[in-house]
Amino acid sequence: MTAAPPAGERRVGSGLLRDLLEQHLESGYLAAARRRAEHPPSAHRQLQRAMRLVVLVALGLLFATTYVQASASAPQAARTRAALANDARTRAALTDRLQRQATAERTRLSAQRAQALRSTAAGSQAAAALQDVEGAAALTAVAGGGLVVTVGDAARSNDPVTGDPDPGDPAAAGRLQDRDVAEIVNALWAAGAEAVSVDGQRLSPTSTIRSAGGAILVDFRPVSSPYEVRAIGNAGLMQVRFTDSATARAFFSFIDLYRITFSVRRVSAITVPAASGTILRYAAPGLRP
Amino acid sequence: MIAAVALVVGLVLGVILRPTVPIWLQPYLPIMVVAALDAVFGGLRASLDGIFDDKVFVISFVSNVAVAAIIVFLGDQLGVGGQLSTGVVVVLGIRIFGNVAAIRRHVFRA
Repeated sequence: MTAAPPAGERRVGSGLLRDLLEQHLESGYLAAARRRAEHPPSAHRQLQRAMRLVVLVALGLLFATTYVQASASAPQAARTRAALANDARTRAALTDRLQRQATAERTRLSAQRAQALRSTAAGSQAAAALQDVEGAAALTAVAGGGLVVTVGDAARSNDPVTGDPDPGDPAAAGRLQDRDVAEIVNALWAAGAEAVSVDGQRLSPTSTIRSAGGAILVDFRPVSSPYEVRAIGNAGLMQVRFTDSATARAFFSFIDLYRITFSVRRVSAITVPAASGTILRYAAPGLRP
Repeated sequence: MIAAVALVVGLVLGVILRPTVPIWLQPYLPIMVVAALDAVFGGLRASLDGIFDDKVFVISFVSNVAVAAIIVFLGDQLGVGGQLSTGVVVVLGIRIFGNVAAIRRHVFRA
């Protein structure tokens, strides 16, 4: 360790940096040592030693406090996020359960109603009409032949450093939007579909396909890529009409253009579930007779 | 020896008591720790050099911690808090490294 050069030799600027790089020891220690060599030790030694201990206790306190603070604040954010995610999952499970319950009740209701109506000719006619209307209103699950259209986002490359999606990636254009899904659904209706579902969500006449943030919502429930659109109807006719539609042709060209995935399959037996969240707009609970 | 005991007592006290730090002081805790480390390694090295002095140690600790916090506080007020804390960490880091190197030479003779 080189001693600091005498004050006269110092040059401004370079001296400051040299001090920083070469003289790490608090210069006070050297000065104190020189002073001690010249004078006898001061009378306050006991007090100074006590002060040293106080400072060391304070130091330990500072370290511990900082550690406690840092370790307490970091997981706080993670805990909050986990709690929120857990909340969302619990609520989703609850709505699923209620949905299943509602579907079961509805099935029981229509079975009892059919039984009650079957006794008269006019009644069974009404029952048949009701069944058609309920199918159109997406109140009952439907099974039959139809088309399965699968469409998915282009595979994206992530930024190698951050792991986030790379904004400069050309595949960013291959991300499907809500209106892409809506267009396919509309083309299927136009091709003669009688019942349509997106990722297992049955579309009723009042269903919505929207986007919120990065997600596509069908009737306010998120669906994710690849989107499977099922359409029940006259499968042969629908396939011809749909693949010949402007929408389908556009999406076939997007396969090469934007690297999305798109396929149309004809299947002989598929089912689409009943729609969720059918709200009675005009009917109200009546008084029991 | 007694110094190490005092340090451990402080650590244990801090863990047990979990003193609540006022919210305005919290951003300055890490920089204060770095400043305190500088004072500690300086004192350790001075004691190995045989020139340790209680008064210098106490004053260097208090002033180091206070000045580090004040510099960063001023920087925050002026909008250059991040850069100033980097500067403080660099300067103190160089000093800590130098002192630890000297301590190492004392202890391992290498």
